[in-house]
Amino acid sequence: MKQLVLNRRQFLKATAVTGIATALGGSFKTGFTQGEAVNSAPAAETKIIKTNCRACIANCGVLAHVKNGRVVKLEGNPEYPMSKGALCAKGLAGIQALYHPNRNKYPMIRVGNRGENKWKRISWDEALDTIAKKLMETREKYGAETVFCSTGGGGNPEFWSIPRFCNAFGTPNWFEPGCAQCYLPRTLTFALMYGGPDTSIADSNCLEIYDPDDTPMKTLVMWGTDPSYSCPAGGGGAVAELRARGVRTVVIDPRLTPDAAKADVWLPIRPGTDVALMLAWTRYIIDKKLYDQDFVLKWTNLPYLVDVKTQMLLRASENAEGTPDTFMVWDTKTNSAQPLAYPWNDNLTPALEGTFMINGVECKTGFQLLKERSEPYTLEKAAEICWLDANKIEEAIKLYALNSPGGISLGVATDQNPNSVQAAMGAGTLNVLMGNVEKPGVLMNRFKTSGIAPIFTYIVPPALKLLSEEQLKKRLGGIEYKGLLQWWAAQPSAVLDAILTGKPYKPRVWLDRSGNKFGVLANSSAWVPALEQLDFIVHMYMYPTSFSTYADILLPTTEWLETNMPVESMNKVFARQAVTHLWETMDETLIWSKLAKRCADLGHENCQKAFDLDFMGKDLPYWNSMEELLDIFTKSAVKMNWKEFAQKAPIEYLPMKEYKEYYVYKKIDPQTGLPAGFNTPSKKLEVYMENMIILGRTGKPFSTYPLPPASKDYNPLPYFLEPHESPLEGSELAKEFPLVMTNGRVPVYHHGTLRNVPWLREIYPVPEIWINPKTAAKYDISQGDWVYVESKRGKIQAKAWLTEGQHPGVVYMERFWNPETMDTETRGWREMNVNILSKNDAPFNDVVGTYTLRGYLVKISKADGPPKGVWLKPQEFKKWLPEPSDPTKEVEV
Amino acid sequence: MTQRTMVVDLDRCIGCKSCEVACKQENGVILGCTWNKVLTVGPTGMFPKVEMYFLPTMCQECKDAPCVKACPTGASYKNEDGVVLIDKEKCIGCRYCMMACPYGVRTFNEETKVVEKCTLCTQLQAIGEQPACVKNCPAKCRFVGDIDDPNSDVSQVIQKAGSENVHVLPDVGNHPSARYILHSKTATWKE
Amino acid sequence: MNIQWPLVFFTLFIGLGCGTFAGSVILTEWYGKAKQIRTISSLIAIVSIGVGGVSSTLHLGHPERMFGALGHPTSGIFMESALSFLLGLAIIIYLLALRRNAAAATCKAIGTVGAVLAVGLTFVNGDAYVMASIPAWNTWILPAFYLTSAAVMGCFSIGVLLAHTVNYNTTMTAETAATTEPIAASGMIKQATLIALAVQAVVLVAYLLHIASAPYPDVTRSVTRVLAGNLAPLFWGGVVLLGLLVPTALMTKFYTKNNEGFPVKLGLAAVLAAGVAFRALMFLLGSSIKQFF
Ligand SMILES: Nc1nc2c(c(=O)[nH]1)N[C@H]1C(S)=C(S)[C@@H](COP(=O)(O)OP(=O)(O)OC[C@H]3O[C@@H](n4cnc5c(=O)[nH]c(N)nc54)[C@H](O)[C@@H]3O)O[C@H]1N2
Ligand SMILES: Nc1nc2c(c(=O)[nH]1)N[C@H]1C(S)=C(S)[C@@H](COP(=O)(O)OP(=O)(O)OC[C@H]3O[C@@H](n4cnc5c(=O)[nH]c(N)nc54)[C@H](O)[C@@H]3O)O[C@H]1N2
Ligand code: SF4
Ligand code: SF4
Ligand code: SF4
Ligand code: SF4
Ligand code: SF4
Ligand SMILES: [Mo]
Repeated sequence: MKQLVLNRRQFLKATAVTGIATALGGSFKTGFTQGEAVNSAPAAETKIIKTNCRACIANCGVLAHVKNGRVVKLEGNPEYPMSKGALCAKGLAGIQALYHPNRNKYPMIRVGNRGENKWKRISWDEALDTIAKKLMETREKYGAETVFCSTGGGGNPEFWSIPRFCNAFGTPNWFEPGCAQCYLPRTLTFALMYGGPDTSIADSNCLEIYDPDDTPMKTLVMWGTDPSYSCPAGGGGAVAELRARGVRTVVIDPRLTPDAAKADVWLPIRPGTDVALMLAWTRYIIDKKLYDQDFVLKWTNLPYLVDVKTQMLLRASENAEGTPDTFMVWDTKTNSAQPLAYPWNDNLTPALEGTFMINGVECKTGFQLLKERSEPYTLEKAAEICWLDANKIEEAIKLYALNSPGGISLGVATDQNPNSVQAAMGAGTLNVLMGNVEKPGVLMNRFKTSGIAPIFTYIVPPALKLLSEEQLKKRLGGIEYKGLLQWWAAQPSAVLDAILTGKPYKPRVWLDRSGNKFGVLANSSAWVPALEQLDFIVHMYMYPTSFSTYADILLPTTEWLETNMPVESMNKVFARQAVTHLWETMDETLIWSKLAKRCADLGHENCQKAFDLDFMGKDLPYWNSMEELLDIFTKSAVKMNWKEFAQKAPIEYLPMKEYKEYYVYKKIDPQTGLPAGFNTPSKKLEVYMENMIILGRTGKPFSTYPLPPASKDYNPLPYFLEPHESPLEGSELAKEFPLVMTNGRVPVYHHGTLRNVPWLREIYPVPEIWINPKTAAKYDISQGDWVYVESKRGKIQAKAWLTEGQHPGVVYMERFWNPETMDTETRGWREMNVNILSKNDAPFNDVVGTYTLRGYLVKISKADGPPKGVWLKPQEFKKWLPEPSDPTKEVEV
Repeated sequence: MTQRTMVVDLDRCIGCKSCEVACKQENGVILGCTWNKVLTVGPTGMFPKVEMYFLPTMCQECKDAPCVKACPTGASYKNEDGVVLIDKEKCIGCRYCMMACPYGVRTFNEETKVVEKCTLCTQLQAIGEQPACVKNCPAKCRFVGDIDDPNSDVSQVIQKAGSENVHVLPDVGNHPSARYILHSKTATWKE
Repeated sequence: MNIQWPLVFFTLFIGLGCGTFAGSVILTEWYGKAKQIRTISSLIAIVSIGVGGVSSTLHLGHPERMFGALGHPTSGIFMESALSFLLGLAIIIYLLALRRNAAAATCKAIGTVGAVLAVGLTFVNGDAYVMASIPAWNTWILPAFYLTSAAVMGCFSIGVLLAHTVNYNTTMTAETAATTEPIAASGMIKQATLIALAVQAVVLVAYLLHIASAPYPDVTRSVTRVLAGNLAPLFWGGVVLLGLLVPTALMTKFYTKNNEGFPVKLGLAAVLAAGVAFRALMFLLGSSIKQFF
């Protein structure tokens, strides 16, 4: 221990002022890496600690082998019901991430000019005080809303920590590069249509697929999702197992993914045209009467009558909260409009289709409107729009529609263009039409839960009530895109615009916790002028990234092997537990709490309230330690405190059979004596999404206060929107930029992460751009050539991979940045970053404000060689080999 | 005779490359060296009628191992389980075994100056565990066992697959014992 | 495969040494001509074999463990080392015999043993690469080529020695020259060289045919790559031009007057270069049936 202290002091002396890479890199080698200790220690015992991975948004079970306090090996935990003992490349590389020589080890403050990359180590106290002071000053001078926060989508220990802090501090502005571009379109739509989870495999839903011994599933449609790459260990493995057992699959994906290659039908769709295809499926299914008539009639709102003019459903009566309203249907027996009280009336024979005049008002059933909406999308029309073969489309639809039970899993692809919410509506509709809801073998199910991680799998309550009506209304993009309310977030483009124009006000301070924002935000170059105008930037992360080079303070956060969090997987609960703790890193769940405390101490009343047990109630007062927070959830779910739980986990909280509860909607509610129905106001599946209209006009059901309406009503049914940058005939832009760019996961990286991990860079050192050989020939590009890729917004490089697995009009690439060039002019993000090309301006999705990450136009040309300074050879990554070090005590501040 | 070897079900393999990292971690394989690599075969054909599969490659545990024959020092040898191993103390780093291997699955370690290859994780099998790549494989497509024993795991999966779906790498007299399972429904096997 | 330079020079110098020694024994001991070159050619041969041997150890990661090979007499490396050792020994004994003016029959016997070992070593040198795993190598034509290559190099090296040890008298007429003993030796060498070159040309064609028809065809070892692809310069320039055409042309001129053997020296340089070129070509064609990593 003595030596540790000494070395720490020595370090301080040696690196008082220095660049990030050097400060955080090699100079520690002698100090803390007591490599000798391991060898000289008497035959150390290896302990195996059960924990969970968080190198992506899944939570696969891990067995961490720990010897003398150091993690020496990771492997899968067979008890984990989703990954069943597997770990993917990212998870296994956890050691190299944990002991990376360039970990952010201490809080650092910038000295010298921004971008000069000179830093000084400071204490946690000083760091937190400095930030809190700056926050309070800014609030005083310009208003709390001029402080904004951001986070990353995945790999995040506590997603809701960020909105919670914002609510406490009084700013409505936080955002995430995913959100409207990832998942929100689906969570929002499924919440409003179904009141249950969406069908994203990568987000650990579709839980039916993990029990292959006991599922009658016949078909699985993977629509814009590639489990093999986006969740290899869990979903990827599960789908492989189902295929092996004869489940037929359809894959809708522009690139030939592993799942596409193994599918019974692969539809290589033109990026961004999914809704047209969904409407064609809908039309075909309606036209050929392939849908589950009984289910649609009884359990959806499609037979309900809609006033064509107002687009609202006809109500016989509006009933009290909790009791569904009574809607009108057209009774074919009496040829009249009749009220249909929940759940059903056997005396009525409601029409599913039809247009009716009721008291001089033109009304149609929801089903009729859906039918009309899908009418133009014949197989041929869809084939033309989507660059597909009509026969193949028909084959796919038949495979799905004639082989129930099954389901459509919708991935993130459709979330990443302005047609996002509509695609989620389309996929939800297709699942519902086939009656693929809450029964064995389908994807839409509400299985039981332990409640151990209740808020979208996280535990920190966002405490919406802390944000005042006045401040909520100031949310950037918040009024127009009210779908964002489900996540309580702002729109990134609106924040950027506000900084650049000062309208409606100028944001000034940015607190970010995530990786490299340049790697994941659309048109990332557009952020540079904004960053230059900001007063103060804080970056919390495990390593310095390009974003850090623009920051003023860096806070060292914990890697997943250093964090504690309850994890639920099917019928078991697990503990992600800290296997070690290094340097002065801190779990950010605590950082935000400590920051709130500092603000409270500086007189921030709302922050003071956030610590008040009585006031906070269910939203919980802020915590001083992780354990304090964790105990609450373990005690309520499994009647143990965290410590005990962590020792005993995993715990099976229900037998599998009981956990997998089907037909939840049919369960009789003892209070009403009626079936429980779905978690929607009507308790039916609201395929006709009247609630979208209500959301756009008022913010209900998510807003804590009534909000002014958006400029336009949201559409209650899915509609197709041709990509703004269209490659079709007549597009001016396509003359210069003829190719459609899209993205999709590679299995060895998670977003912007792990580009500094030798094992992974060795496998995938540089981003590939996939090009059809015909297209490549046009530009004289051969296999393995370096190419330039250019959009209206910028120019980057990539390495050509010529493949017949791709339409000649489409190119594919995945995100990349280069930690090795962080200290150069490019700051590591300008060489091969596909988000220099992507599109962050209007048109946005009308409900949630989605911009365009996939499906915009680019051109390609041959380049002479790789960008300067990037590492290509395995040996070059040696500089990043792990430098294991001993555990340190948690920092007390 | 005992012949332990690996069988990989390519119908299942999803090309995730977890096995590559698992191998590196378990065996301390250095940067630039490879014992196990997943290749993409294809896509072949013309868009959109294409086929593709993944081919995890590692030592094929040849029955008549040319690498062993070529080795001048006896560093390369076949153990009693039929596993071809390298005694790193004896290896002179002449790399003739690398030339003799028909598949290029041996690798020269520039740091220790000896040749290395997949060991079927004998160290793990010795304590009753599965090799790292087998254990961590998400698609559960790798199997290890004695292919000469009809009751072993590997013999069973091969039997179940049906002989027309069981493939072997080109044999030039070395008699590789590893097997690959690939149904024509997934893709046609490319020699 | 990458060019293994230590092995290229190993087999090149072994070939040069063996060719020189065997050629010299045949010329001097069997035909009784140009006896003055016996010592110098033997010295050159042993040095050349030594250099080759040293070069081969550069290829080893652990030369210090080399003795481990003693226990495995069937491996190529063992055969090569053993034969090199025996050949070296034979040459030393031969040199000692020469030095002590041993009986002609003794010298001839020892020389012949050495020559046989030299031929064997050259063959084994090439044969070490004959392996089923590498289709372009998997033929007896390859060691045959090593033999012809050694023969050609040997002829030129002896040619150089002759040029240096024979005094071409300017007054000598063409007819007298033909009957003069040293000149007769040169004539023989010339003939031998031309024959060796011719055989080498045939073997080369045979080798191309082998490559073209070898199983497991692959671009890396295709005839087109050799004749018209990225190996064409090496093949046409190195193997054909420097290895066949230039030496043929130069050999026809080698005993013209007043040139101090310059054409043979040039020829030797050309065939050495061609030897390197062929060996490089061999490695570049040496892809295994599958090269997974
Ligand atoms: N062009 C293009 N752009 C895209 C996408 C695309 O497909 N194409 N995908 C979009 C999507 S779906 C998303 S979700 C976003 C993702 O974008 P981000 O989520 O911003 O990406 P990351 O850099 O992964 O940031 C999340 C980070 O949290 C880190 N993390 C993990 N544990 C901890 C911890 O304990 N503390 C802290 N502080 N951090 C931790 C992870 O390592 C990870 O780096 O990107 C979007 N951007
Ligand atoms: N390895 C890895 N795993 C991850 C992540 C990661 O970064 N890396 N990120 C995590 C996160 S936050 C998310 S959101 C999930 C996403 O995981 P998934 O939902 O599976 O989504 P992606 O792999 O991004 O995209 C799915 C497929 O959409 C295809 N695609 C592209 N454009 C279109 C289109 O216009 N239409 C259709 N139908 N398909 C299209 C792509 O080729 C890709 O194969 O993955 C999570 N898991
Ligand atoms: S899929 Fe891979 S990265 Fe994601 S949690 Fe599982 S092991 Fe970790
Ligand atoms: S881990 Fe398994 S599924 Fe993944 S690439 Fe390797 S063999 Fe294939
Ligand atoms: S490199 Fe080592 S193992 Fe290979 S042949 Fe030579 S001595 Fe044997
Ligand atoms: S595959 Fe190669 S290394 Fe393995 S036994 Fe056969 S020849 Fe030897
Ligand atoms: S068996 Fe072991 S050594 Fe062989 S490839 Fe798998 S992990 Fe590597
Ligand atoms: Mo995401």
